[in-house]
Amino acid sequence: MKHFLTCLAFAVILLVSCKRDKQHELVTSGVVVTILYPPAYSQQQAAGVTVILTSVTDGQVKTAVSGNNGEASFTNILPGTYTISATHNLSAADAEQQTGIGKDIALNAIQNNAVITGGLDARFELQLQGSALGNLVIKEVYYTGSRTPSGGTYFSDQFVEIYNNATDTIYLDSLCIADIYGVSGLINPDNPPSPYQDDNDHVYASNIWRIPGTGKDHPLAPGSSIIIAQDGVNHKDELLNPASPVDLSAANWETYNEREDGRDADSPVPNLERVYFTGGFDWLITVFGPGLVIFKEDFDKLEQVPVPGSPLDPRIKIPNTVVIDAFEALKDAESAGFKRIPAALDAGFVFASDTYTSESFRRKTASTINGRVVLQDTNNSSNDFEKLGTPKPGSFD
Amino acid sequence: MRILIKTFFRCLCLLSSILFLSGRYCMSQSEKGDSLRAWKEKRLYNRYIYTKNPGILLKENPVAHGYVHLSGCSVSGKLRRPMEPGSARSATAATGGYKAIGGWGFKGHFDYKKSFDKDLAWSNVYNAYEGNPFLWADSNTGKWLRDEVNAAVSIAPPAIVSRLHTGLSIDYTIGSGARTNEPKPFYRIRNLSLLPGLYWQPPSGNNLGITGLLCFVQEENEIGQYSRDNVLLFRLRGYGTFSKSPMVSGTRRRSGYAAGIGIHYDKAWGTYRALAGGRFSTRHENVFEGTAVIAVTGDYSAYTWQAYGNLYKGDDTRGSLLAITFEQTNGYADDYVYQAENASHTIRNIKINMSRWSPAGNNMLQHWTAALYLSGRHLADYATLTSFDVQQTGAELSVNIRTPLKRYLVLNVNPWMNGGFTISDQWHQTTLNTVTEDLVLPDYRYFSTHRLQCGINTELEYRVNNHTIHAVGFLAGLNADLNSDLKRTNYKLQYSIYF
Repeated sequence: MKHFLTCLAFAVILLVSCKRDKQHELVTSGVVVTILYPPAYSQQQAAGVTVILTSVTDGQVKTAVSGNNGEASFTNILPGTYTISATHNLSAADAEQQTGIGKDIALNAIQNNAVITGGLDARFELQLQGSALGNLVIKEVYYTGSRTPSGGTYFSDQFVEIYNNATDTIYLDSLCIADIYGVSGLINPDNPPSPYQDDNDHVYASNIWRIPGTGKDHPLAPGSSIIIAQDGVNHKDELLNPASPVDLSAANWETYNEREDGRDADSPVPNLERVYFTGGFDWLITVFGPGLVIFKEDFDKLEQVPVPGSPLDPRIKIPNTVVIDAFEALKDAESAGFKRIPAALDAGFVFASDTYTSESFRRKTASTINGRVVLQDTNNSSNDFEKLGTPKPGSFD
Repeated sequence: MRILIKTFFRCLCLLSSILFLSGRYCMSQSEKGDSLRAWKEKRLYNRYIYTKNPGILLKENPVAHGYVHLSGCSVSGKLRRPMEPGSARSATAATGGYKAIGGWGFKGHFDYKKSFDKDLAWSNVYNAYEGNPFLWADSNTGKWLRDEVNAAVSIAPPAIVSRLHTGLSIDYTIGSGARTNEPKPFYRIRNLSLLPGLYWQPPSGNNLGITGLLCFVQEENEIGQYSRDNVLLFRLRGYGTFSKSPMVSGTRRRSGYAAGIGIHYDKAWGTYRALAGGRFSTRHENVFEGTAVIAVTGDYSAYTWQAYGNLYKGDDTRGSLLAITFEQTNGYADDYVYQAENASHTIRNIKINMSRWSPAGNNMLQHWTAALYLSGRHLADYATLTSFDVQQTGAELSVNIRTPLKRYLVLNVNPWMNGGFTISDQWHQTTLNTVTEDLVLPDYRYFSTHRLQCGINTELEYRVNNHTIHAVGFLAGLNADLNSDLKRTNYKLQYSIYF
C-alpha cells in the first residue's frame, strides 16, 4: 500500500504540473478617438465627425460620431489591428467660421495599423486634413464577374469607371490605366505575395492601356465620367450572359486585345491603345481583386524590370509621382499581407464576398457642391469605396 | 508514392503477423464454454479492458483465438449533429487475435473500412467533432467517400524482474476521404499511438499498474485542386467565429500530439476483486495553411481526466459487477487573429453501471445491466458571445440472453433501452451569424432534447467443431427525440469466424 500511495502522489504531482500554458482569455477593450481640426482652424476639437474602425483581420466595421469634445467612443472592441478613419464635410458657412474662407471643404484623416490589445483601453488622436478636391479618380471597379443562368462563370463584363472630381475640364489624352502585378491573397497554397512589396516608391504593372489623343481630343467635364469596358457590348444579350448585371454597349472605351486568332471580339466601342500586355486573350483583371492605377507618363521613359525568380515577361516600373489615383482589392479581409500598391498611393483595400458575385466597388460621395458630386478621396480604398450588390456604371444612386 | 508503398508493406507485414499468430490456435469451446464472449462481455474479470495496460495482458490470460469479421453498417435519419451525414454506409473487413507464445503475449487487430456518407455539409475534415474547433468547411452538401485502415498490436514480454510485467501497444491509423462534388475537398490522416504499460504484483496482493500514452496526429487537407470553379472557403475558428474567403485552391495541415499517464490499483479477496484507477492526458494541435506563406489559424489544447472503479464478484457464469466511470475533457482554442483564447468547451460524464449474470435454466444465461449517468456539455465562443450549457441525466437497461438452440447452435439476444433527460440547458447569443445559425444552435438543440434510444443486437453462432465458430449478427438501433418526430436509425450486419 505504501508503494501505491507513493506512486499515486507522484501521479498527482505530474497532473498538477501539467498546467495549461494558455494565452489570456479574449477580453474586449474600449477605444476613444479624438478628432482634431487642422492647426490653422479656429476650433481644435471636431464635433460631429464620423469615425470608422475597421478590423484589418476580419473586416468588421464599427462607427461612432465625435461629440463636442471631439471624442468618438467605441466599446467592446475585440483585440487586433485596425484602420481608423474619419470623414467630415464642412459647408461653406461652417468653413468660413473655421477658416475665414467661405468654401465647401472635405476633411479626412486616417491611421493605419492601430493595435488594440485585449483588456487595455486605447486612445488615438487623428488630425483632419483637407482632401485634394479636383482630379481624376477611379469611381467604380467591377471586377468580380457574374454567374451565367446555368451557374457558370462570366468575366467579360468587367469595367472601370474614371471620374473628373475637379472643378475644371480635364483632358484624358494619354491617360493610362494599368493593373498591378501580384496575387490578391493566398488563392493557391504556393502563391507568394508580390516580390516588389518592399519598393514603396513604385508600382509594377502587368498590363497598360492608354487613351489615344494628341492632347485635347478627349475632354472630361467636371462631374463626368468615362467607362472602360473589357468588352463594350451588351452583356445581358442572350448569346452572352443574360444574368450579367451590365449592358456596356454604351461604354466610352474598351480594351480590345487584337490577336491573330481573333479570340477577342472588337465591338463598335472605341478601343484603348494596348501599350503593354502580358495577359491572355482579353484584359481580364483578377476576379479575386485587382490593383489598378491611372497615370500619365511617356511609356518609353518607364523601366521594364524582370520578375524575380520567374520566367514571366518583365513588369513596368511606374513611379508613385506620376500616379493620379489607385484602387486596391484583395481576396479577403485577411489578405493585407498581399498588398501590391504602396500605402502612399492606397493605404487600404476592399474585398468581395466571393468571386463571380456581381459585386462592385464604388467611391463614396463626399459632398455635393452646386449639383456637382465630389467623391471622397483619402487615398485609402477601405475608406473611400463602398461595396455594391450589383454594379451601377455612371450612376450615383 | 514512397510513403504509400511503405505503408502498404507495413500493413502487409502486420496482417501476416496477425494471421500467423492467430491462425494456428484455437479456442476450446466445448470445455471452457464461451470464454471469449464472457471476456468481451466483462463476465470474466478483465482488467485489460478497463486499464488498457498491455503489461497486464499476459496476466489476464485471455483465450487464444483468431477472428475474421465482415460487416456492413447503415445509419440514417434527421436526428443528427449538423456536421454529421444525413446517411452513412460502411463496409468493414477485420481480422485479429491473441496468443501467448513462449511466455510472450501477442494481440493484434487489423481492419479496413470503406465508408459512403451522404448529405454531409460544413465538414471538410476527417472528423469535425474530434474536439478541435479550427475547421475547414463550405456550405455545399455532398457525398463523401472514405477509406481507413487501422492496425493495432499489443506485445507483453515475460516479466523483466520478479513480478514486474511490461507491455507495449501500438495503434496506427491511416485514411483518406474526398467529397465528390465541388469544390472537392480532400483529406488524409495518419495517427500513431504508443501505449507502454507496467504492472507490478507484489506478494501483498496490492497490484499496481502504470500506463503511458504518446500519440502523434497529422491531417492534411486540400480543396479546389480538382475543382472547375473557385472555392468559397469557411474557416471555422470556434463556436460562431469564422472567416471566409474565395480561393482557387488551398492546403491545410493539422498536426499535434497527445501525451498521457494512467495509474491503477487492484486487489482480490475471497470472491471479490476490486480495481481503481485514473488517467490524465493532454492534447495539443496546430492548424495552419499555405506553403508559400504559412498562415497559422490557431492552436487547440485539450485536457482529459478519467477515473474509474470496479467491484467484481463471481465467475463467467454467475456474478455481478459494479462499475463507476468519470471523465472530463476541457478544450481551449487559441486564435491567432485575436492572439487570445477565443473558444472553450467542457464535456463531463459520470456513469454508474451495475451488472448481474446467472444461469436461467435450459443452459441459458441471462446478463442484466442497469446504468445511471449524468453528462454535461458547455461550449463558449468569446468573440461572438455565443455559449450553451446542457446537463443531462439518463438511465440504461439491457439484458443479454444467451441460449443454446442445439448442441452446435447458440443464440444471443441483447435488447437495450436508454432514456436521456435534460435537467438544465442554457443558450446565449448576441447575434446569429451563418455559423451559429447552421452549426452551433442546431448542435445545442441536438444535445438539449429528451432522448430515447433502444435497439436489439442478435447473433447466431454455429459451432463447426471445437475450434471454429461461424456467427451471423444483426443489430438494429433507434435514437429518437422525444420532443419531436426526429429520429435516427442504425443497422449492422456482421459475419464472423472465430478460430
